Amino acid sequence: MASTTETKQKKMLILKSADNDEFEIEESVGVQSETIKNLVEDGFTFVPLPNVYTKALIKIIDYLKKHANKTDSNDEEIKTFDKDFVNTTFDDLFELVSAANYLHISCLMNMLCQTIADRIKDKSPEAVRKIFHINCDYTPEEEAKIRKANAQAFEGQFDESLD
Amino acid sequence: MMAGVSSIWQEDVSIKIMEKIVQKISIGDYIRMGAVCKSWRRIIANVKPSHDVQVPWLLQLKDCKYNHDTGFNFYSLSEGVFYSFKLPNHILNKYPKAAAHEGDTFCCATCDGWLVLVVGPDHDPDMFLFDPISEKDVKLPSLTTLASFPSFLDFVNLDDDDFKISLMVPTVQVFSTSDNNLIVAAIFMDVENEVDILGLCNCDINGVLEEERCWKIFDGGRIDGGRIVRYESMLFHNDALYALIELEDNDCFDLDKRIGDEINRVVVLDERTEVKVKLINIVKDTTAYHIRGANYSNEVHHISYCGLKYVYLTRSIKGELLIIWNKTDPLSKHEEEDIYHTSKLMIERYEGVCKTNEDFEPITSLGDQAVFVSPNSSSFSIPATSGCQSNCIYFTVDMLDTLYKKSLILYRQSDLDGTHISSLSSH
Repeated sequence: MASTTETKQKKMLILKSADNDEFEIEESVGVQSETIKNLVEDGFTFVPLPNVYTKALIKIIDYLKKHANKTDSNDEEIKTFDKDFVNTTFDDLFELVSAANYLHISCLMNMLCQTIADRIKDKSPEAVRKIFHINCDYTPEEEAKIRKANAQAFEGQFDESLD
Repeated sequence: MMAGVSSIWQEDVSIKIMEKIVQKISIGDYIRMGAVCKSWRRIIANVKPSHDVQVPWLLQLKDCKYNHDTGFNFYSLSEGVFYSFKLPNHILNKYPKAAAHEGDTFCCATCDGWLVLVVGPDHDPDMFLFDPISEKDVKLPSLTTLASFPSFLDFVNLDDDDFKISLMVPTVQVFSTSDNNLIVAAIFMDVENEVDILGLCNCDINGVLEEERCWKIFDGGRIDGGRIVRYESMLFHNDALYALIELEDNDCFDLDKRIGDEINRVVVLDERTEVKVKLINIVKDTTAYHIRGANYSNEVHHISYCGLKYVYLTRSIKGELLIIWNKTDPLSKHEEEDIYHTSKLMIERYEGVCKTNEDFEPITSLGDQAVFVSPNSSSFSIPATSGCQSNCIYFTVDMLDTLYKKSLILYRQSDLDGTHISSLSSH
Protein backbone atom coordinates (compact mmCIF):
# COMPACT_ATOMS: atom_id res chain seq x y z
CA MET A 1 0.00 0.00 0.00
CA ALA A 2 2.77 2.44 0.88
CA SER A 3 3.98 3.96 -2.33
CA THR A 4 6.39 6.45 -0.85
CA THR A 5 8.61 6.37 2.17
CA GLU A 6 6.66 9.24 3.71
CA THR A 7 3.58 7.18 4.29
CA LYS A 8 5.44 4.96 6.73
CA GLN A 9 5.79 7.88 9.10
CA LYS A 10 2.30 9.26 8.97
CA LYS A 11 1.71 11.50 11.93
CA MET A 12 -1.16 10.29 14.03
CA LEU A 13 -3.49 12.06 16.43
CA ILE A 14 -5.70 10.78 19.17
CA LEU A 15 -9.13 12.34 19.58
CA LYS A 16 -10.99 11.78 22.82
CA SER A 17 -14.76 12.16 22.85
CA ALA A 18 -16.91 13.52 25.67
CA ASP A 19 -17.75 9.89 26.58
CA ASN A 20 -14.00 9.19 26.97
CA ASP A 21 -13.68 7.04 23.84
CA GLU A 22 -10.41 7.49 22.00
CA PHE A 23 -9.94 7.48 18.24
CA GLU A 24 -6.68 7.44 16.35
CA ILE A 25 -6.63 9.31 13.05
CA GLU A 26 -4.03 10.68 10.67
CA GLU A 27 -3.02 14.23 11.31
CA SER A 28 -3.72 15.15 7.68
CA VAL A 29 -7.31 14.00 8.17
CA GLY A 30 -7.76 15.82 11.47
CA VAL A 31 -6.48 19.21 10.40
CA GLN A 32 -9.51 19.78 8.18
CA SER A 33 -10.93 20.94 11.50
CA GLU A 34 -9.61 24.40 12.34
CA THR A 35 -9.87 23.62 16.05
CA ILE A 36 -7.73 20.50 15.72
CA LYS A 37 -5.35 22.27 13.35
CA ASN A 38 -4.66 24.99 15.90
CA LEU A 39 -3.94 22.40 18.58
CA VAL A 40 -1.66 20.44 16.25
CA GLU A 41 0.24 23.61 15.43
CA ASP A 42 0.76 24.08 19.15
CA GLY A 43 2.30 20.60 19.30
CA PHE A 44 -0.62 18.56 20.63
CA THR A 45 -1.11 14.96 19.46
CA PHE A 46 -3.77 14.13 22.04
CA VAL A 47 -6.93 16.14 21.50
CA PRO A 48 -9.71 16.00 24.09
CA LEU A 49 -13.07 17.07 22.67
CA PRO A 50 -15.31 17.63 25.70
CA ASN A 51 -18.18 18.93 23.54
CA VAL A 52 -18.32 16.08 21.04
CA TYR A 53 -19.97 12.78 21.89
CA THR A 54 -18.79 9.45 20.51
CA LYS A 55 -21.79 8.92 18.26
CA ALA A 56 -21.26 12.22 16.44
CA LEU A 57 -17.49 11.89 16.47
CA ILE A 58 -17.57 8.54 14.65
CA LYS A 59 -19.66 10.07 11.89
CA ILE A 60 -17.46 13.15 11.70
CA ILE A 61 -14.26 11.11 11.47
CA ASP A 62 -15.91 9.18 8.62
CA TYR A 63 -16.65 12.45 6.92
CA LEU A 64 -13.14 13.82 7.40
CA LYS A 65 -11.54 10.62 6.06
CA LYS A 66 -13.74 10.67 3.00
CA HIS A 67 -13.05 14.32 2.29
CA ALA A 68 -9.32 14.04 2.97
CA ASN A 69 -9.06 11.68 0.01
CA LYS A 70 -10.83 13.97 -2.39
CA THR A 71 -9.63 13.66 -5.97
CA ASP A 72 -11.16 14.54 -9.29
CA SER A 73 -12.20 10.97 -9.90
CA ASN A 74 -14.16 10.28 -6.71
CA ASP A 75 -16.27 13.41 -6.89
CA GLU A 76 -19.47 11.46 -7.47
CA GLU A 77 -18.65 9.04 -4.70
CA ILE A 78 -18.22 11.89 -2.22
CA LYS A 79 -21.49 13.46 -3.32
CA THR A 80 -23.29 10.20 -2.62
CA PHE A 81 -21.52 9.90 0.70
CA ASP A 82 -22.57 13.45 1.68
CA LYS A 83 -26.15 12.75 0.70
CA ASP A 84 -26.28 9.69 2.95
CA PHE A 85 -24.46 11.56 5.67
CA VAL A 86 -27.16 14.20 6.11
CA ASN A 87 -30.02 11.76 5.65
CA THR A 88 -30.58 11.36 9.37
CA THR A 89 -32.81 12.51 12.21
CA PHE A 90 -32.99 16.02 13.58
CA ASP A 91 -31.57 14.85 16.88
CA ASP A 92 -28.50 13.57 15.08
CA LEU A 93 -28.29 16.68 12.94
CA PHE A 94 -28.22 18.78 16.07
CA GLU A 95 -25.34 16.79 17.53
CA LEU A 96 -23.49 16.92 14.22
CA VAL A 97 -23.97 20.60 13.58
CA SER A 98 -22.94 21.45 17.15
CA ALA A 99 -19.83 19.32 16.75
CA ALA A 100 -19.00 20.79 13.33
CA ASN A 101 -19.40 24.26 14.80
CA TYR A 102 -17.13 23.42 17.75
CA LEU A 103 -14.55 21.76 15.51
CA HIS A 104 -14.72 24.55 12.93
CA ILE A 105 -15.17 22.36 9.87
CA SER A 106 -16.69 24.92 7.57
CA CYS A 107 -17.65 22.71 4.61
CA LEU A 108 -19.44 20.27 6.92
CA MET A 109 -21.09 23.12 8.81
CA ASN A 110 -22.31 24.56 5.54
CA MET A 111 -23.71 21.27 4.35
CA LEU A 112 -25.51 20.56 7.62
CA CYS A 113 -27.01 24.04 7.87
CA GLN A 114 -28.19 23.80 4.27
CA THR A 115 -29.85 20.48 5.11
CA ILE A 116 -31.60 21.95 8.13
CA ALA A 117 -32.60 25.06 6.17
CA ASP A 118 -34.04 22.91 3.39
CA ARG A 119 -36.19 21.10 5.92
CA ILE A 120 -37.47 24.31 7.46
CA LYS A 121 -38.32 25.82 4.08
CA ASP A 122 -42.00 26.43 3.42
CA LYS A 123 -43.03 24.75 6.67
CA SER A 124 -45.58 26.16 9.07
CA PRO A 125 -44.39 27.09 12.59
CA GLU A 126 -46.44 24.13 13.92
CA ALA A 127 -44.60 21.67 11.70
CA VAL A 128 -41.23 23.20 12.64
CA ARG A 129 -42.09 22.84 16.33
CA LYS A 130 -42.94 19.16 15.89
CA ILE A 131 -39.80 18.51 13.87
CA PHE A 132 -37.53 20.13 16.43
CA HIS A 133 -39.52 18.94 19.49
CA ILE A 134 -40.04 22.53 20.53
CA ASN A 135 -42.72 23.51 23.01
CA CYS A 136 -44.55 26.63 21.99
CA ASP A 137 -44.04 29.09 24.83
CA TYR A 138 -46.14 31.88 23.34
CA THR A 139 -49.55 32.57 24.77
CA PRO A 140 -52.27 32.34 22.10
CA GLU A 141 -52.55 36.14 22.28
CA GLU A 142 -48.83 36.63 21.69
CA GLU A 143 -48.82 34.23 18.80
CA ALA A 144 -51.81 35.92 17.22
CA LYS A 145 -50.02 39.25 17.49
CA ILE A 146 -46.91 37.95 15.74
CA ARG A 147 -48.98 36.45 12.98
CA LYS A 148 -50.92 39.64 12.53
CA ALA A 149 -47.79 41.79 12.31
CA ASN A 150 -46.59 39.90 9.26
CA ALA A 151 -49.75 38.31 8.07
CA GLN A 152 -48.41 37.68 4.56
CA ALA A 153 -45.86 35.21 5.86
CA PHE A 154 -48.61 33.06 7.34
CA GLU A 155 -50.95 33.00 4.39
CA GLY A 156 -51.15 30.25 1.84
CA GLN A 157 -50.33 26.59 1.91
CA PHE A 158 -47.48 25.19 3.93
CA ASP A 159 -45.65 21.97 3.95
CA GLU A 160 -46.90 20.19 7.06
CA SER A 161 -44.82 17.06 6.61
CA LEU A 162 -42.39 16.15 9.35
CA ASP A 163 -39.34 15.07 7.40
CA MET B 1 -25.57 12.85 26.99
CA MET B 2 -27.16 16.22 27.36
CA ALA B 3 -30.71 16.48 28.61
CA GLY B 4 -33.64 16.00 26.21
CA VAL B 5 -33.05 17.07 22.66
CA SER B 6 -36.15 19.21 22.67
CA SER B 7 -34.58 21.63 25.10
CA ILE B 8 -31.36 21.64 23.08
CA TRP B 9 -32.98 22.98 19.91
CA GLN B 10 -35.10 25.30 21.97
CA GLU B 11 -32.55 26.68 24.38
CA ASP B 12 -29.02 25.64 23.59
CA VAL B 13 -28.84 26.24 19.88
CA SER B 14 -25.93 28.56 19.28
CA ILE B 15 -26.28 31.85 17.52
CA LYS B 16 -23.61 30.85 15.01
CA ILE B 17 -25.57 27.81 13.92
CA MET B 18 -28.81 29.78 13.65
CA GLU B 19 -27.03 32.47 11.67
CA LYS B 20 -25.85 29.93 9.12
CA ILE B 21 -29.31 28.44 8.81
CA VAL B 22 -31.01 31.82 8.51
CA GLN B 23 -28.70 32.78 5.64
CA LYS B 24 -30.08 29.90 3.64
CA ILE B 25 -33.81 30.48 3.96
CA SER B 26 -36.30 32.88 2.49
CA ILE B 27 -37.64 35.85 4.34
CA GLY B 28 -41.02 34.17 4.79
CA ASP B 29 -39.32 31.22 6.46
CA TYR B 30 -37.41 33.68 8.62
CA ILE B 31 -40.59 35.34 9.85
CA ARG B 32 -42.23 31.99 10.52
CA MET B 33 -39.16 30.85 12.47
CA GLY B 34 -39.72 33.80 14.80
CA ALA B 35 -43.21 32.43 15.53
CA VAL B 36 -41.91 29.02 16.59
CA CYS B 37 -40.87 29.94 20.14
CA LYS B 38 -39.55 32.83 22.19
CA SER B 39 -35.93 31.71 22.23
CA TRP B 40 -35.82 31.36 18.45
CA ARG B 41 -37.33 34.79 18.08
CA ARG B 42 -34.70 36.20 20.43
CA ILE B 43 -31.82 34.49 18.62
CA ILE B 44 -32.82 35.29 15.08
CA ALA B 45 -33.44 38.94 15.92
CA ASN B 46 -29.64 39.14 16.06
CA VAL B 47 -29.00 37.44 12.76
CA LYS B 48 -30.01 39.12 9.58
CA PRO B 49 -30.91 37.21 6.47
CA SER B 50 -30.84 40.40 4.46
CA HIS B 51 -27.10 40.83 4.82
CA ASP B 52 -26.62 37.79 2.76
CA VAL B 53 -28.25 38.78 -0.46
CA GLN B 54 -29.09 35.34 -1.76
CA VAL B 55 -32.72 36.33 -1.69
CA PRO B 56 -33.15 39.94 -2.74
CA TRP B 57 -35.99 42.15 -1.68
CA LEU B 58 -37.10 45.27 -3.42
CA LEU B 59 -38.41 48.10 -1.33
CA GLN B 60 -41.54 49.71 -2.67
CA LEU B 61 -42.19 53.21 -1.44
CA LYS B 62 -44.29 55.93 -2.95
CA ASP B 63 -42.15 59.06 -3.31
CA CYS B 64 -39.63 57.49 -0.92
CA LYS B 65 -42.13 58.20 1.84
CA TYR B 66 -43.09 55.89 4.67
CA ASN B 67 -46.79 55.32 5.03
CA HIS B 68 -47.89 54.95 8.64
CA ASP B 69 -50.90 52.85 7.68
CA THR B 70 -49.25 50.35 5.41
CA GLY B 71 -45.63 50.40 6.55
CA PHE B 72 -42.66 49.53 4.42
CA ASN B 73 -43.55 47.28 1.53
CA PHE B 74 -41.00 44.80 0.33
CA TYR B 75 -41.24 42.57 -2.68
CA SER B 76 -39.49 39.25 -2.36
CA LEU B 77 -38.23 38.31 -5.79
CA SER B 78 -37.81 34.64 -4.99
CA GLU B 79 -41.27 34.20 -3.52
CA GLY B 80 -43.14 36.76 -5.62
CA VAL B 81 -44.94 38.19 -2.62
CA PHE B 82 -44.97 41.44 -0.68
CA TYR B 83 -44.06 41.81 2.96
CA SER B 84 -44.75 44.88 4.98
CA PHE B 85 -43.15 46.12 8.16
CA LYS B 86 -44.11 48.99 10.36
CA LEU B 87 -41.81 51.09 12.46
CA PRO B 88 -41.88 49.36 15.85
CA ASN B 89 -42.75 51.19 19.05
CA HIS B 90 -39.21 51.26 20.41
CA ILE B 91 -38.14 53.16 17.29
CA LEU B 92 -41.05 55.60 17.53
CA ASN B 93 -40.15 56.17 21.19
CA LYS B 94 -36.49 56.74 20.43
CA TYR B 95 -37.16 58.94 17.40
CA PRO B 96 -40.38 60.75 18.27
CA LYS B 97 -39.99 62.80 15.08
CA ALA B 98 -40.86 59.64 13.16
CA ALA B 99 -44.40 59.71 14.57
CA ALA B 100 -47.14 60.45 12.07
CA HIS B 101 -47.94 63.96 13.27
CA GLU B 102 -44.32 65.18 13.30
CA GLY B 103 -43.70 65.35 9.58
CA ASP B 104 -42.74 62.80 6.98
CA THR B 105 -40.49 59.79 7.26
CA PHE B 106 -38.34 59.28 4.20
CA CYS B 107 -36.14 56.45 3.12
CA CYS B 108 -33.45 58.17 1.09
CA ALA B 109 -31.08 55.27 0.48
CA THR B 110 -30.47 51.63 1.34
CA CYS B 111 -27.38 49.54 1.88
CA ASP B 112 -27.09 45.85 2.75
CA GLY B 113 -30.49 45.64 4.35
CA TRP B 114 -30.18 48.96 6.19
CA LEU B 115 -32.70 51.64 5.35
CA VAL B 116 -31.43 55.20 5.72
CA LEU B 117 -34.31 57.12 7.25
CA VAL B 118 -34.68 60.87 7.51
CA VAL B 119 -37.56 61.83 9.80
CA GLY B 120 -39.18 64.97 11.10
CA PRO B 121 -39.48 68.57 10.01
CA ASP B 122 -37.25 69.85 7.22
CA HIS B 123 -35.39 72.32 9.42
CA ASP B 124 -34.39 69.80 12.07
CA PRO B 125 -34.63 66.21 10.87
CA ASP B 126 -33.26 63.12 12.59
CA MET B 127 -31.41 60.54 10.59
CA PHE B 128 -30.79 56.90 11.40
CA LEU B 129 -30.23 53.48 9.94
CA PHE B 130 -33.00 50.98 10.45
CA ASP B 131 -33.12 47.29 9.72
CA PRO B 132 -36.79 46.30 9.40
CA ILE B 133 -36.05 42.63 10.01
CA SER B 134 -34.01 42.71 13.19
CA GLU B 135 -35.64 46.06 14.11
CA LYS B 136 -32.24 47.45 15.05
CA ASP B 137 -31.34 51.06 14.55
CA VAL B 138 -28.13 53.09 14.36
CA LYS B 139 -28.46 56.77 15.12
CA LEU B 140 -26.58 59.04 12.73
CA PRO B 141 -25.38 62.59 13.41
CA SER B 142 -27.88 65.23 12.38
CA LEU B 143 -27.85 66.74 8.91
CA THR B 144 -27.99 70.13 10.62
CA THR B 145 -24.36 69.67 11.68
CA LEU B 146 -23.28 69.93 8.04
CA ALA B 147 -22.06 73.28 6.71
CA SER B 148 -24.06 72.75 3.53
CA PHE B 149 -27.34 72.20 5.41
CA PRO B 150 -28.63 75.82 5.54
CA SER B 151 -28.34 76.34 1.80
CA PHE B 152 -30.05 73.04 1.14
CA LEU B 153 -32.85 73.99 3.51
CA ASP B 154 -33.32 77.28 1.64
CA PHE B 155 -33.52 75.28 -1.50
CA VAL B 156 -36.15 72.97 -0.06
CA ASN B 157 -38.17 75.91 1.19
CA LEU B 158 -38.13 77.56 -2.22
CA ASP B 159 -39.73 74.56 -3.79
CA ASP B 160 -43.23 73.81 -2.57
CA ASP B 161 -43.68 70.12 -2.35
CA ASP B 162 -41.45 68.18 -4.64
CA PHE B 163 -38.15 68.79 -3.00
CA LYS B 164 -37.51 67.16 0.32
CA ILE B 165 -34.68 67.48 2.80
CA SER B 166 -34.08 63.75 2.48
CA LEU B 167 -32.84 64.29 -1.08
CA MET B 168 -29.74 65.83 0.44
CA VAL B 169 -28.50 62.26 0.99
CA PRO B 170 -28.57 60.42 -2.33
CA THR B 171 -26.53 57.40 -1.37
CA VAL B 172 -24.91 55.66 1.57
CA GLN B 173 -22.48 52.82 2.22
CA VAL B 174 -22.48 50.93 5.50
CA PHE B 175 -19.44 48.79 6.24
CA SER B 176 -17.00 47.62 8.89
CA THR B 177 -13.22 47.90 8.88
CA SER B 178 -12.86 45.74 11.97
CA ASP B 179 -15.03 43.40 14.02
CA ASN B 180 -16.40 46.04 16.30
CA ASN B 181 -17.03 49.08 14.20
CA LEU B 182 -19.73 50.16 11.83
CA ILE B 183 -18.87 52.97 9.47
CA VAL B 184 -21.37 54.95 7.46
CA ALA B 185 -20.18 56.82 4.38
CA ALA B 186 -22.77 59.19 2.95
CA ILE B 187 -22.86 61.48 -0.04
CA PHE B 188 -24.42 64.85 0.70
CA MET B 189 -25.44 67.42 -1.86
CA ASP B 190 -24.05 70.89 -1.46
CA VAL B 191 -26.35 72.99 -3.64
CA GLU B 192 -24.58 76.27 -2.95
CA ASN B 193 -21.31 75.10 -4.45
CA GLU B 194 -22.93 72.55 -6.75
CA VAL B 195 -20.75 69.72 -5.52
CA ASP B 196 -21.17 66.41 -3.75
CA ILE B 197 -19.63 65.98 -0.33
CA LEU B 198 -18.49 62.70 1.17
CA GLY B 199 -19.01 62.39 4.91
CA LEU B 200 -17.97 59.47 7.12
CA CYS B 201 -19.05 58.53 10.60
CA ASN B 202 -17.85 55.79 12.90
CA CYS B 203 -20.94 54.37 14.58
CA ASP B 204 -18.90 52.04 16.73
CA ILE B 205 -21.84 50.40 18.41
CA ASN B 206 -19.93 49.48 21.55
CA GLY B 207 -17.75 52.54 21.86
CA VAL B 208 -18.67 56.05 20.82
CA LEU B 209 -21.80 57.43 22.41
CA GLU B 210 -24.62 58.14 20.00
CA GLU B 211 -24.54 61.84 20.86
CA GLU B 212 -20.82 62.05 20.14
CA ARG B 213 -21.00 60.67 16.63
CA CYS B 214 -20.15 63.22 14.01
CA TRP B 215 -19.71 63.50 10.25
CA LYS B 216 -16.10 63.70 9.18
CA ILE B 217 -16.03 65.48 5.84
CA PHE B 218 -13.61 63.95 3.38
CA ASP B 219 -11.45 66.42 1.55
CA GLY B 220 -10.08 64.85 -1.58
CA GLY B 221 -7.88 67.87 -2.24
CA ARG B 222 -6.92 68.78 -5.78
CA ILE B 223 -6.64 65.90 -8.20
CA ASP B 224 -5.06 66.60 -11.56
CA GLY B 225 -5.66 70.25 -10.81
CA GLY B 226 -9.36 69.86 -10.08
CA ARG B 227 -11.64 69.28 -7.13
CA ILE B 228 -14.18 66.50 -6.86
CA VAL B 229 -17.59 67.71 -7.93
CA ARG B 230 -19.52 64.49 -8.21
CA TYR B 231 -19.50 61.06 -6.61
CA GLU B 232 -21.18 58.84 -9.17
CA SER B 233 -21.14 55.59 -7.26
CA MET B 234 -19.34 54.07 -4.33
CA LEU B 235 -18.76 50.60 -2.97
CA PHE B 236 -16.86 49.18 -0.03
CA HIS B 237 -14.70 46.40 -1.41
CA ASN B 238 -11.56 44.61 -0.18
CA ASP B 239 -11.18 46.85 2.87
CA ALA B 240 -11.39 50.09 0.91
CA LEU B 241 -14.12 52.51 -0.07
CA TYR B 242 -14.06 52.77 -3.87
CA ALA B 243 -15.70 55.82 -5.40
CA LEU B 244 -16.23 56.81 -9.00
CA ILE B 245 -15.67 60.55 -9.13
CA GLU B 246 -15.93 63.38 -11.55
CA LEU B 247 -13.61 66.38 -11.32
CA GLU B 248 -14.60 70.00 -11.62
CA ASP B 249 -12.72 70.63 -14.79
CA ASN B 250 -12.61 67.71 -17.08
CA ASP B 251 -10.96 69.77 -19.81
CA CYS B 252 -7.61 69.17 -18.23
CA PHE B 253 -8.34 65.48 -18.26
CA ASP B 254 -7.26 63.70 -21.39
CA LEU B 255 -10.47 63.15 -23.31
CA ASP B 256 -9.37 59.82 -24.65
CA LYS B 257 -9.22 58.58 -21.14
CA ARG B 258 -12.23 56.79 -19.84
CA ILE B 259 -10.87 55.81 -16.44
CA GLY B 260 -8.12 57.74 -14.71
CA ASP B 261 -5.48 56.51 -12.30
CA GLU B 262 -6.59 55.17 -8.97
CA ILE B 263 -6.04 57.82 -6.31
CA ASN B 264 -5.46 56.58 -2.78
CA ARG B 265 -6.45 58.51 0.31
CA VAL B 266 -6.86 57.63 3.96
CA VAL B 267 -9.48 59.17 6.22
CA VAL B 268 -8.70 59.04 9.93
CA LEU B 269 -11.92 58.91 11.90
CA ASP B 270 -10.42 58.43 15.34
CA GLU B 271 -7.27 56.99 16.84
CA ARG B 272 -8.37 53.42 16.18
CA THR B 273 -10.28 53.85 12.95
CA GLU B 274 -9.17 54.81 9.52
CA VAL B 275 -10.77 54.23 6.15
CA LYS B 276 -8.89 53.68 2.92
CA VAL B 277 -10.51 55.56 0.06
CA LYS B 278 -9.78 54.74 -3.56
CA LEU B 279 -10.95 57.39 -5.97
CA ILE B 280 -11.44 56.56 -9.61
CA ASN B 281 -11.75 59.50 -11.95
CA ILE B 282 -14.09 58.66 -14.78
CA VAL B 283 -15.10 60.49 -17.91
CA LYS B 284 -18.62 59.98 -19.13
CA ASP B 285 -18.13 61.60 -22.51
CA THR B 286 -21.49 63.33 -22.72
CA THR B 287 -20.92 64.29 -19.16
CA ALA B 288 -24.15 65.10 -17.51
CA TYR B 289 -25.12 65.70 -13.96
CA HIS B 290 -26.52 62.65 -12.42
CA ILE B 291 -30.24 62.56 -12.74
CA ARG B 292 -30.63 62.60 -8.98
CA GLY B 293 -30.13 66.05 -9.83
CA ALA B 294 -29.88 68.78 -7.32
CA ASN B 295 -30.93 72.10 -8.71
CA TYR B 296 -30.88 70.87 -11.93
CA SER B 297 -34.45 70.70 -12.98
CA ASN B 298 -33.68 72.85 -16.01
CA GLU B 299 -30.56 71.01 -16.83
CA VAL B 300 -32.17 67.62 -16.71
CA HIS B 301 -34.24 68.60 -19.68
CA HIS B 302 -31.29 70.02 -21.51
CA ILE B 303 -29.13 67.04 -20.76
CA SER B 304 -31.74 64.60 -21.85
CA TYR B 305 -31.11 65.63 -25.42
CA CYS B 306 -27.56 64.48 -25.36
CA GLY B 307 -28.34 61.23 -23.63
CA LEU B 308 -27.80 60.62 -19.98
CA LYS B 309 -25.19 58.34 -18.67
CA TYR B 310 -25.38 56.55 -15.40
CA VAL B 311 -22.32 54.87 -14.03
CA TYR B 312 -22.43 52.25 -11.35
CA LEU B 313 -19.79 50.43 -9.40
CA THR B 314 -20.61 46.89 -8.44
CA ARG B 315 -19.05 43.59 -7.51
CA SER B 316 -19.58 40.33 -9.33
CA ILE B 317 -20.32 37.11 -7.47
CA LYS B 318 -16.69 36.18 -7.99
CA GLY B 319 -15.61 39.36 -6.23
CA GLU B 320 -14.41 41.37 -9.25
CA LEU B 321 -15.16 45.08 -9.36
CA LEU B 322 -17.29 46.03 -12.31
CA ILE B 323 -18.16 49.41 -13.74
CA ILE B 324 -21.49 49.56 -15.51
CA TRP B 325 -22.07 52.34 -18.02
CA ASN B 326 -25.68 52.85 -18.83
CA LYS B 327 -26.42 55.34 -21.56
CA THR B 328 -29.95 56.36 -22.28
CA ASP B 329 -31.29 57.30 -25.65
CA PRO B 330 -32.92 60.74 -25.64
CA LEU B 331 -35.15 59.82 -28.54
CA SER B 332 -36.55 56.71 -26.96
CA LYS B 333 -38.84 58.49 -24.56
CA HIS B 334 -41.64 56.32 -23.36
CA GLU B 335 -44.94 57.64 -24.62
CA GLU B 336 -46.63 58.32 -21.35
CA GLU B 337 -43.81 58.10 -18.88
CA ASP B 338 -40.72 60.20 -18.70
CA ILE B 339 -38.50 57.25 -19.08
CA TYR B 340 -35.64 57.00 -21.46
CA HIS B 341 -34.75 53.58 -22.65
CA THR B 342 -31.23 52.42 -22.25
CA SER B 343 -29.56 52.70 -25.63
CA LYS B 344 -26.21 51.31 -24.72
CA LEU B 345 -25.05 49.26 -21.83
CA MET B 346 -21.44 48.44 -21.19
CA ILE B 347 -19.85 46.50 -18.41
CA GLU B 348 -16.20 46.84 -17.76
CA ARG B 349 -13.96 45.02 -15.33
CA TYR B 350 -12.15 47.50 -13.14
CA GLU B 351 -8.52 46.52 -12.92
CA GLY B 352 -7.02 49.39 -10.98
CA VAL B 353 -5.31 50.95 -14.00
CA CYS B 354 -6.23 53.90 -16.15
CA LYS B 355 -7.85 53.15 -19.45
CA THR B 356 -8.51 55.01 -22.64
CA ASN B 357 -11.42 54.49 -24.95
CA GLU B 358 -9.19 52.30 -27.08
CA ASP B 359 -8.30 49.94 -24.24
CA PHE B 360 -11.90 49.57 -23.36
CA GLU B 361 -12.94 45.97 -23.46
CA PRO B 362 -16.49 45.42 -22.41
CA ILE B 363 -17.57 42.16 -20.84
CA THR B 364 -19.99 40.43 -23.16
CA SER B 365 -21.75 38.23 -20.65
CA LEU B 366 -22.37 38.25 -16.93
CA GLY B 367 -22.81 34.51 -16.99
CA ASP B 368 -24.96 32.88 -14.39
CA GLN B 369 -25.52 35.91 -12.22
CA ALA B 370 -27.86 38.83 -11.85
CA VAL B 371 -26.57 42.26 -10.87
CA PHE B 372 -28.69 44.84 -9.08
CA VAL B 373 -27.78 48.51 -9.33
CA SER B 374 -29.50 51.70 -8.31
CA PRO B 375 -28.61 55.37 -7.90
CA ASN B 376 -29.57 55.24 -4.24
CA SER B 377 -28.94 51.72 -3.07
CA SER B 378 -25.75 49.76 -2.79
CA SER B 379 -25.30 47.36 -5.65
CA PHE B 380 -24.97 43.61 -5.33
CA SER B 381 -24.75 40.48 -7.42
CA ILE B 382 -26.38 37.14 -6.81
CA PRO B 383 -26.33 33.76 -8.49
CA ALA B 384 -29.32 33.76 -10.80
CA THR B 385 -31.38 31.13 -9.09
CA SER B 386 -34.25 32.49 -7.09
CA GLY B 387 -36.67 34.54 -9.09
CA CYS B 388 -34.25 36.45 -11.29
CA GLN B 389 -32.73 35.94 -14.71
CA SER B 390 -29.13 35.10 -15.37
CA ASN B 391 -26.91 37.46 -17.38
CA CYS B 392 -29.11 40.29 -16.32
CA ILE B 393 -28.71 43.72 -14.79
CA TYR B 394 -31.65 44.93 -12.72
CA PHE B 395 -31.85 48.69 -12.54
CA THR B 396 -33.93 49.63 -9.58
CA VAL B 397 -34.86 53.23 -9.22
CA ASP B 398 -35.56 54.58 -5.79
CA MET B 399 -35.81 58.33 -6.04
CA LEU B 400 -38.89 58.42 -8.09
CA ASP B 401 -39.79 62.02 -7.77
CA THR B 402 -36.54 63.04 -9.33
CA LEU B 403 -37.29 60.75 -12.22
CA TYR B 404 -40.87 61.96 -12.55
CA LYS B 405 -42.24 58.48 -12.71
CA LYS B 406 -45.88 58.04 -12.10
CA SER B 407 -46.87 54.43 -11.98
CA LEU B 408 -45.69 50.95 -11.36
CA ILE B 409 -43.44 49.98 -14.19
CA LEU B 410 -41.80 46.73 -14.91
CA TYR B 411 -40.12 46.50 -18.23
CA ARG B 412 -37.52 44.40 -19.85
CA GLN B 413 -35.61 44.98 -23.00
CA SER B 414 -32.69 43.47 -24.80
CA ASP B 415 -29.56 45.38 -25.53
CA LEU B 416 -28.00 45.35 -28.96
CA ASP B 417 -25.32 42.88 -28.03
CA GLY B 418 -27.71 40.58 -26.28
CA THR B 419 -27.10 41.45 -22.66
CA HIS B 420 -30.45 41.55 -20.97
CA ILE B 421 -31.47 44.68 -19.27
CA SER B 422 -34.24 44.79 -16.82
CA SER B 423 -35.58 47.76 -15.11
CA LEU B 424 -37.88 47.26 -12.22
CA SER B 425 -39.24 50.31 -10.63
CA SER B 426 -42.19 50.87 -8.49
CA HIS B 427 -43.84 53.53 -6.53
